[in-house]
Amino acid sequence: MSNITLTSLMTPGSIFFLDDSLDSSYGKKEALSFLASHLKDEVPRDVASTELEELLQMSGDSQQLHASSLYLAFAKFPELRDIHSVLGISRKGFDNGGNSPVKAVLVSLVPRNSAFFQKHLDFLSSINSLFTDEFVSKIAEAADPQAVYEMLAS
Amino acid sequence: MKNNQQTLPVSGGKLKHVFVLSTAMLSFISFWKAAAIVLCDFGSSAYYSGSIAMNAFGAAFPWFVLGVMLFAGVMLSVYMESCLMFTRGGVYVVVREAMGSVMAKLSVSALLFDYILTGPISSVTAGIYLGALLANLLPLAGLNWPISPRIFAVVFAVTVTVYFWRANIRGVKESSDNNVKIIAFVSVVAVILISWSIYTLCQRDNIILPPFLPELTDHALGWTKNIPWLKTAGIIGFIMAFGHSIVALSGLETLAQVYRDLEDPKYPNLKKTVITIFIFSIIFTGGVTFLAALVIPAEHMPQYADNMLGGLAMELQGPYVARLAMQTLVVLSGALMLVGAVNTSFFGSNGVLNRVAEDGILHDWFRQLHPKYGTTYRLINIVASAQILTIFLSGGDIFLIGEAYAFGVLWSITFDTLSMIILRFKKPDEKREFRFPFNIKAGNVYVPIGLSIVFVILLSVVGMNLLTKKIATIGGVSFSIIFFIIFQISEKMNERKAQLLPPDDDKEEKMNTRMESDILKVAGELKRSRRILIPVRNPNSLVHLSYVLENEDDDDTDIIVLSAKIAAGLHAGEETMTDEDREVFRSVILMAEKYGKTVKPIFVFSNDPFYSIAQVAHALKANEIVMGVSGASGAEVQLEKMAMAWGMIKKPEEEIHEVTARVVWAGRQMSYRMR
Repeated sequence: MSNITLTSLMTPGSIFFLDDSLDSSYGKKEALSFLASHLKDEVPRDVASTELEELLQMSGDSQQLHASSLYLAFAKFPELRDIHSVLGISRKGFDNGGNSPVKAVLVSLVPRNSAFFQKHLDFLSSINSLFTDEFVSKIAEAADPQAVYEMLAS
Repeated sequence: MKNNQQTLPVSGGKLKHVFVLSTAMLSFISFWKAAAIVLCDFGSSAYYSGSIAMNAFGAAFPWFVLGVMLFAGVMLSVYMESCLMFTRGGVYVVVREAMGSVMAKLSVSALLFDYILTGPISSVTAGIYLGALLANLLPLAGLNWPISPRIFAVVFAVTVTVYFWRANIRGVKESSDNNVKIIAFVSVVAVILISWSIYTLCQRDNIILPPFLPELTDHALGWTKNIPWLKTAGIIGFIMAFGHSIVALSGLETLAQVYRDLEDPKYPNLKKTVITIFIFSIIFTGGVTFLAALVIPAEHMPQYADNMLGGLAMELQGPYVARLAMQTLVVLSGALMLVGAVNTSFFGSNGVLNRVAEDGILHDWFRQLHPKYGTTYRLINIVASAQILTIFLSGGDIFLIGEAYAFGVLWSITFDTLSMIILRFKKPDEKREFRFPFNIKAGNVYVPIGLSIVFVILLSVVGMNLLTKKIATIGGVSFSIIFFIIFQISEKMNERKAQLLPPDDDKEEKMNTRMESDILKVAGELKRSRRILIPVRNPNSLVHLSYVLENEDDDDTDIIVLSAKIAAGLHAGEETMTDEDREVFRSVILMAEKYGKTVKPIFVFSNDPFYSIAQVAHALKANEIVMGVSGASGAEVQLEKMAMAWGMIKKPEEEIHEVTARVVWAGRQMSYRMR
């Protein structure tokens, strides 16, 4: 079992409904930009926001496994000591080139060091275990971030 | 990675449409079995080599047969070096690598001559021994045995040949277990025979050792009869006599064929195989032939000219009935070995011709498969026909066949030795676990002094045999030329056809695949306590497979090799393996043979390889997943994907076992414990 749980990394304030925050034509790029902006305080100072968005998109596109409604993106920095995550939920879903629309975007900043690597992998494993299509559909129907947080905690 | 949204039909998350590869080459044998297989061919010469040598140069024959057996130890060492260089070796492969296609074709022609004559000499000898036994046994039952031994031998030989002709057409495989039983039985008979022979000699007042100087008959001198100056050089006579005894070396090529089946550790097991073969042949072929010369009185020897070991049994000290029983055991043991050698001749010649055919040197007509049995029946028909023709032409005369037989034996080992010398210079950096001794290191080349001496000896014997064995020279050279021409014409015809027709998928390696509807059915076939899953995709990138084969013991570990192919838009039941997919497994099988370890290759279609790796690892309860590094993404990304895939297949209520995912590349590795 991973030592890291999402609820230990996030608060309800880290959970956003993208439909409420972005204009109706948003896609993956806009979602990543929006979520990355909420992590800017954790990002090392010399990394520009555009660079962060590029890193996130690269990792998200390369890590995508088979049809999934979760888009998982992370960027690694040696300066970090812990994982910092924000979760974006899209009630209507957006197209990412596949059949299933993406309804959840998890963006994380991850420490880049060998001692943390096992934890990072455990985190990825538990995220994918938790965010089944069924679970993503449930959280997409949640009323507010607090409800989503409670679902993550249960 | 491209996000492929098409999914295979799955049921409850289970992996469907798993192809399991099964091939005979994925089972390996102990050194005992390997030695038994070789000895069933090589050891059978004990029953005729003494007779053939004695017929050529008289009473000195046991010294020369023993000398040839000592030389067999030398030749076994030459074969050791070639086997360790080429897992799937043999004369054809070795000569082709060293001297090119033309010489390889010539060497194969000589080898075929060897294989084709193995059948007649073995079956006729068995017939002669059996005829002699019946001539002794039947009168005890009040029956006369009026049939000429040679006629009986011809009838018996043809019957045996036809039997194995049919068996090989039907594709009956040789069983190494049978070979072990035969050698075990022969060993018991040999111990009794040797012990009784020694007892017999101890009862005699004086034991006269056979003369050392050969007395070559006019026939044995061949064309040299007309070259008087040759007779004055004493050493020439020894070389001639050695050449007439060389038929005792037949069967060594079987070692090269059997090496790929030898289990891990290959080199130590090869050494044990070679030592076992050498000791057996010295004691049996060399020792028993010598005892025959000592025990059988000179005046009785002519009546046992062509069944010497049967004669030895009949000349032992003791009651007639006991001697008859001993003769029965000798004949039975001989018949088992000799008849087995007939089957080996079919198997060996078919194997050699198929290997030649792989290189496009044999026209497809020859490789046509039997509509019912799927065997290369035309090749088998050619071999059988040639053998039966030889039997009839010989009229049951083993001396005639033996003379011709030596041609093929000698030329194939000479080609092999010369090739090993050339390869020392041509491939000096090739890894050799064993080198034939007596070498001088010059730079990165181990100059082969020892091999060169062996080659000089063989060349001198070849030269002498060309002059002294008229039938062998005429027959052997004609046969080799005919087959060489057939190969050349076939190759040209195949070259013209190559652009027009798709490649023949009847490759040497019979890759039988069966499709299972569920990966869990494959899980039931895994019996060992540990399981390692090795994903493969690129036949040129198997460092991780090599790592596992080198470090794991297949006695307690199931090594499962998984190829997961990305395929889009699949419909259930339409998936098939392509040649490219099979190429991956060919490389896997070659590597498994090199290490002598059993692997279980499976193939799945998937829209996500990592997901299918995780599914298979979960279904088979693998303890470890060992991947090669991806040049495109790197080890970190591979492990991240593996972690994600593992998370996806985990079910909250299910207790999942721990698996270690490892990425291995040159001298490095990275691992992750998946929980």
